[in-house]
Amino acid sequence: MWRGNAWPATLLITGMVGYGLFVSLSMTTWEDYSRLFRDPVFLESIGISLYVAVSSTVLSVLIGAWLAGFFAKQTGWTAQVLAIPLFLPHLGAAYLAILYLSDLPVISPHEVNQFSIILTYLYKEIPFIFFYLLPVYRRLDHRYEELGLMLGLSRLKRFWHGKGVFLLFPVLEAAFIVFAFTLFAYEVPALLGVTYPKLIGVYTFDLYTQGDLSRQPEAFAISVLLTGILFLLLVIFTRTIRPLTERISKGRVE
Amino acid sequence: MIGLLVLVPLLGLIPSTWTWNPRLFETLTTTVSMIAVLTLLNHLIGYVTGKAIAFRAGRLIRYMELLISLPLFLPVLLLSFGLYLTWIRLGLADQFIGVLLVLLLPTLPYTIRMYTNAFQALGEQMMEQMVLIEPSRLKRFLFLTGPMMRSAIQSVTLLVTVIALSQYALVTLIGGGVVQMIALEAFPLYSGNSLVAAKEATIWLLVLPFLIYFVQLILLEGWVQVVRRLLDGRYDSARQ
Amino acid sequence: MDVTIQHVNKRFGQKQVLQAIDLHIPSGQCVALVGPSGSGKTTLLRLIAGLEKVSGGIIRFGETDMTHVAPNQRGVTMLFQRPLLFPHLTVGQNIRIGMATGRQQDVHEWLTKVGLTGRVDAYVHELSGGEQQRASLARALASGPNFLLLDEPFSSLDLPRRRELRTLIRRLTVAEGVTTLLVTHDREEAMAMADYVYVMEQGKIIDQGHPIELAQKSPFFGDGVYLDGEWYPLSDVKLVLRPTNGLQERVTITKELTQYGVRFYEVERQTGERLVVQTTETFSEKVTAYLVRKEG
Repeated sequence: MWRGNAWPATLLITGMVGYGLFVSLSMTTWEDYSRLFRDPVFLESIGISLYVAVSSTVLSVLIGAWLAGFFAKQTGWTAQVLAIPLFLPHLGAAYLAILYLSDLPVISPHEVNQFSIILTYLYKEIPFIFFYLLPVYRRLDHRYEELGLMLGLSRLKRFWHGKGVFLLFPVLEAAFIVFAFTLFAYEVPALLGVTYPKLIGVYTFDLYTQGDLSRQPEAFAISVLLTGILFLLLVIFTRTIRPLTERISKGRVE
Repeated sequence: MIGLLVLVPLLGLIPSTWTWNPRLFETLTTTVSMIAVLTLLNHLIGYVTGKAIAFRAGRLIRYMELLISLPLFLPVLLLSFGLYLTWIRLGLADQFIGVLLVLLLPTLPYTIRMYTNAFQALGEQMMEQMVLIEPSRLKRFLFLTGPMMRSAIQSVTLLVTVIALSQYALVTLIGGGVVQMIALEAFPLYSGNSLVAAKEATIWLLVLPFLIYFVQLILLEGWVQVVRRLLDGRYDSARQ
Repeated sequence: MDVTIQHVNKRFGQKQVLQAIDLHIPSGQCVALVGPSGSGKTTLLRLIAGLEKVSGGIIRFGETDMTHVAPNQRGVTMLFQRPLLFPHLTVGQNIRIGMATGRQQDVHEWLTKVGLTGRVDAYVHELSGGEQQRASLARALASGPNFLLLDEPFSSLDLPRRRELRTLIRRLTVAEGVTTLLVTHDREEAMAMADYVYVMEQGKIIDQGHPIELAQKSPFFGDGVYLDGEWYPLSDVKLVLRPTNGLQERVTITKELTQYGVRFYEVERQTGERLVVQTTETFSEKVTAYLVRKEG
């Protein structure tokens, strides 16, 4: 039995995720969901959260991927400097934002544009993307691009067939992880965000923990709704891209 | 240039006066023991699971892989609302073990990924080779697999530590304020007025991962040294 | 198109990898570059393709100086050690990718030429190693190159597949009139495929000649040479020696002898030269002959 066993982890994680979802579901009625869609506070919160999550994700993926591509060709320890933010918990990174950005215009915490939140995420997520993609870049076989060159492909096609297809899945996957995290995180927006509109993680958590219990079903409804949407996105994402990744992993030359 | 961008913000953390917040310090026992148990669980489960994902083929294991990564893509905090009610029913709410279990959600998927990658990099042939060389599972881990996976072990511990330290909302909810981890003290300080107290908390947040990282580095280095010495000794005695 | 390399040097940092290389590949012929690994032969290949820059010297295709021309302007393709088919594309798409627009319906024709009829929609992982390398050959030739570079393209294949592919490459390059340079560490391969052979060692050309000449004088080739090709036993006394390098020669068996259970033939070429050869695959029509030594 040296091949390991995935059952304990699968049962543990699926059990907790599934049961958490099931309990939330059982605490809500149709009425709760239809009320959500009519609640302007909730909708505004979703809007602002999407803005933060999409900008953080796009920026950190672009910068992180560029850095990974750059450092993949280098040897030595310089890239290791980027590991330092990995040692600092998000909570600590939020403090850095309070410390440095508080007296500045535009990007200071508690501004409606949420720039301080995005900057904090960039500080943490660029290194994450970087170390996620670095091994992927290092594994790329440059001969595919050389071949494209000799076959007379255009620059764009060379990039796509030589690198793009091999990077596509890891990049999208890392982006998905960062997106889901920045969309729902509590700590950073709770410290740096404005009191209205709150980001969705903060909004929902406050609904659940503070004030009267009558608003708890709403929190459960948000939980079920957003989990459902993300799960759906995940299924669509995997379904569309799986055939491609399988072909690549089986057909690429090691 | 990039190095500066990354490093300079941390310089501001160097304190001008040393302070000592006893309330922060008191949470350290719980914090460190939580991290210790959580890390250990992550290693144990991550190791066997990562191996399975790397070396087993078939549709089933691919579905399992997907299920295991769910917490990376889903709102764990929102899911914990439902879990909290269940934990109350099971008597796990406001308990160390209840928090421990929930903290597995944001950490274990990463751990498993890192172990999977490490095993894939090691390769199936190398694993088979090691099985042939050393049939005893414990010895195989101590002498071969363990030392070869040093960097994965280190990254896992670091990541688990940092994620666990950051969880304010999750620990507040499930721990009910009874399970006091450092985030629970640090968080209110940040929204308060005392920059000095906040800075001290941040230093703890940064120092703990570094400390744990370097303690582990020394332990792992020691492990490899012992293995080398044992193997050299065996070789010498066989020659005589 | 002739390819001429004059006094080419290559340094990586302080390390001199190639020293004053002179080499000539006559139009439409196949020249092999043989040498142990690390002798610099792959580097030379990459210089010719334009994938690396020369440190000195001239590379000329026909009359044109190509020394500083970009790889995609040279009309060169390469077969690497591994097939390197694009894994996300089908076999047909792989072949089509480098073809000029307007000629794209030729894909099926190319598939037939390399023995992959009907596999147009197969994905890379559905092909065997040999099939992948054949598809790769089709892709290379379909792009219409003047010049084909072979960087040990047989090394990942087993012996029967190797022989198959050699014959195929020779047949197709002759038919298409493509000039070919083969890089290999395998003497047998060089002798079987090439019209002319250069021997490299430590970044220098140390010997050159026609395969059979070289076999007799170069210590690198030892005392035996494989002539890989098709031998058709026409009668009891005559064989047609047709190595893959396109020569066709009728030889007469003058003596048959058995040693250690292995059958040898002494044959006489039309030049009067006598060779001792060993056939290794006597069951099939295709016979590999092993030239043991030259007599007289």
